[in-house]
This record gives sequence, C-alpha cells and structure tokens, in this order.
Amino acid sequence: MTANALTDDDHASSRPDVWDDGRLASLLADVGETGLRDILRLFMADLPFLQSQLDAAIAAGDEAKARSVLAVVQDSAEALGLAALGTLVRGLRKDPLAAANPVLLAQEAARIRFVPTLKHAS
Amino acid sequence: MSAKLSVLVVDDNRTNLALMDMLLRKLPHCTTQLLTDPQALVSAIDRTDYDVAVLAVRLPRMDGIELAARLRADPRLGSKPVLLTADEPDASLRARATDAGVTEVIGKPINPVELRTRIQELARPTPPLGIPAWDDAGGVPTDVTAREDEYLAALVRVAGYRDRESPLHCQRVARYCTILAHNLGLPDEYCRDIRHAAQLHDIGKAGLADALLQKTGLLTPEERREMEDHTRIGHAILKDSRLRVFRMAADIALTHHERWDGLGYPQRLTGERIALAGRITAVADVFDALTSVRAYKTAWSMANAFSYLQDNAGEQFDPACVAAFLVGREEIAEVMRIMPDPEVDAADAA
Repeated sequence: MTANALTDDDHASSRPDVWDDGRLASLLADVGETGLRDILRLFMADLPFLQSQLDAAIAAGDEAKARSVLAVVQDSAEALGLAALGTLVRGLRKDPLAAANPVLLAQEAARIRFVPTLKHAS
Repeated sequence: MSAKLSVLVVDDNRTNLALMDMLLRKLPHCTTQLLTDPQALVSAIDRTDYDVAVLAVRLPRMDGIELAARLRADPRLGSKPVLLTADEPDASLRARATDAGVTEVIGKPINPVELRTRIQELARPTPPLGIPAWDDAGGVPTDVTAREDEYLAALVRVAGYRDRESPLHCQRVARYCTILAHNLGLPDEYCRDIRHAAQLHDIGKAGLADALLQKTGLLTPEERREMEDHTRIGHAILKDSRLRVFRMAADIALTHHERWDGLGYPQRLTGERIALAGRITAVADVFDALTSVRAYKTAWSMANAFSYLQDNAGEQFDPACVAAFLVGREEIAEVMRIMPDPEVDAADAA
C-alpha cells in the first residue's frame, strides 16, 4: 500500500506516506474502520483550534506554548498512525516559533481526507 | 478490586482519551473514567476509585508523575497500579516515575494489545492457592530460570509420547507464537514465555484414554466431548504452578480451542475474554495443522493457509493476531523450511 492509495492528493508521491501502514493495520484490526473514522473526525475537529493556538503563540513569541501545542498535535498524529503529520510536527518542534509553521501544518492536514480501507497488512 | 475492571485515564489530549476509551472497552467488563484535568481528580480524590490508573505524563498544571505521587500518597488508592504513558521516555523520566510510585512506563504511541495485556495482568489477583510466586515477587531462585527449559522439554516429551501429532508440531507452533507475539509488539519477556509455554498447548492429551488417542476413524459425539476435555486437563495440570511461564501454559492449554466468535470450547468465551496467549496459539496451531499432513488431509500450501486465516479473522480468530501473523510471512516460511515434517512433500500445489 502506498500514500497514493490513501489520499486523494495527486502530488502525494513527492511527500512521505500519510499513514503508517503498520499502525493503521493494527488500529483497523482493533477498533475497526468506524471507530478509527470517529477518532479521526474528533482530531480533525480539534485541529483548527490547535492551529489557532499555535498562531497566537507564535504572534506572542510564546515558545513554550507553541511547543506544547505542537506536542499535542504530534501525540495525536502518532497515536492515529498519521505518519507524515507526526514527522512534520516533530521537525516543527525544533523551531516552534517559525512563521511558516501554521501554513505547513495546514498543508499536511489537508492531505488527510479519509480513513483508507485496508484488509490486514497484505 | 471489584468484579468489573475500572480503569481511570487522565490525558488532556481528547484524541488520545477517545482512542484509549475505545481500546480499553474491549476488555471484558471494563468501565473507563476519562479525565482531562488532573486538578479535578485531586480535588475529588476522596470520591475516586479505580482498579488501574493510566496517566499521561504531559498534563496541564501538574504532570502525570506528580499526579501519580498524589494517588500513591492516598491511603485508599496507594496500593493501586499506575501506568504512565510518555513519548520516548528516557532514563531520567523513568527514574522520576519510579520514585513517584509509577508501576510501569509505557511508550507512545500506545500498542493496544500490550496496553490491555498489562492492565489485565496488573488487575489480576495474585497467584493461586496463596503461594507466593517465585517470578512475580522478584525472588526467583537462581537455578529455576535456568532449569525451566529442562522442565519444559521433559513435559513436552511426556506429552509427545501420548500424542499422534508430529513431535515437531509443538515446536513449530511455539515458534509461530513467538513471531506473532513479537509482531504484536509485546515485550521480549512475553515472547520468551510464549515460546516455552505454547509447546505445552496439548499436554492435556496425556490424560485421555489410549483407545481415544489411538482411534483413527471419525470420533463419535461422546468421543469428541472426551477429546475436548484435553483443554481442561491441561489447565488442571499446569494452573497452580508458581512459575509464570507455566501459568501462561495453563491459559493456553485451556483456551487455544476457543473462537473469537464464542463458538469454540471448552468455555465458549468470546473476544478478549479469551486469554491473549490462547488467541495467539489458536492462530499458530491451526496454521500448523493446515500446513501439515494429517490422517484426513494433505498439507496445504502456506498461501492457502494464510487465506484461510484471513477469511476467518474476526470469526474463528482474533483479527489483530491474524494481521500480526501475516506480517511475519518470511520468518514463518523459514520455520517451515528448517522444521519440516517428513510427509510435507505431499503438499498441495496451490
């Protein structure tokens, strides 16, 4: 399975896979597609709020707050198997006040459109 | 501890909390209490009760380690196990956690199977008959661990004398179980234990009548019921051991013929009410039976046996175990290559 199978982004091949296949297979086997979709929906609903918190932290020069918000995003991304987002945010945390961070976060979040169907890991 | 399993989860990340809730509710009779604010828990500590607490290390106002210390300091909750979840926990964090009374630190992202297994183990009553366990109390006599292999090998030989299966069947099943457990992300200690314990999955056959074991034709319904008793007999032989590996073997002996959908035997357990080691062994045992020559069938190809497992995931087998088993395709093929039955040349060509 490749990133292209998991997203509707035509340019996905130049970026890391959206999903971690192993984590995805494990979660689908465990909580099922409906369960995973519900949790993903919750995360996607929280993301605009987290992005606005990041914007505010960057505008205020509050490094600790920016780092904390990014930690929450990374935590969720890795828990859900959103590999590319997790990797991106891990990188952003090295310079949490960089002006480009909210844009990069939004771009990566836009690639997450749906939970793919995956029968086991084969 | 109550008959139900109550797990307290404190995490200010709503996604994590929802995922943990979904994962934990798969445990038999499990209820969850989900909190985002550690201060609210401390304020209501007099009215709080649980069997196991799972705390995120990163929390607002008070981190998970400080919260664990507060819970441990409470006279009523102080003896209850506390798990701490942390992203890449380093030695310093682990040391702080231990000092605060944290029972165990679990790295993120959480492995669902490991989380549930640890919670079940921590919530489980201490060993049978009130005999202190050698290996749980940290008081293992130095020669016992070293001699476990000898004890097990002798028991496997005893069982083998009474069983019609190939002597390599038990060894292959044990290897497959180890691969599967490893792919589930279970700790090395668990993988080591199951490699030993799974060899004894059919030890209960030693307690069956000769006429039944040696019968080559179809079994009558009464004979089938007698044959099914090997699960209970195996469990009875092993269950009171003071060694963890034998207690796991007892679980396996009792549950390896249970089915995920509740149509197995002897207790018709469903889902995660079946011991994890039993669910793992069920996959490995059936795979080996399919790929081996039996009196009533030729050996299936690996591909056909994999298809069977996939088709029966969620019905006969735990789907997570099947998925983890399929990931180990290359290692499984290697076990089949180095431990073949003499008759395996008769394998189908598919």
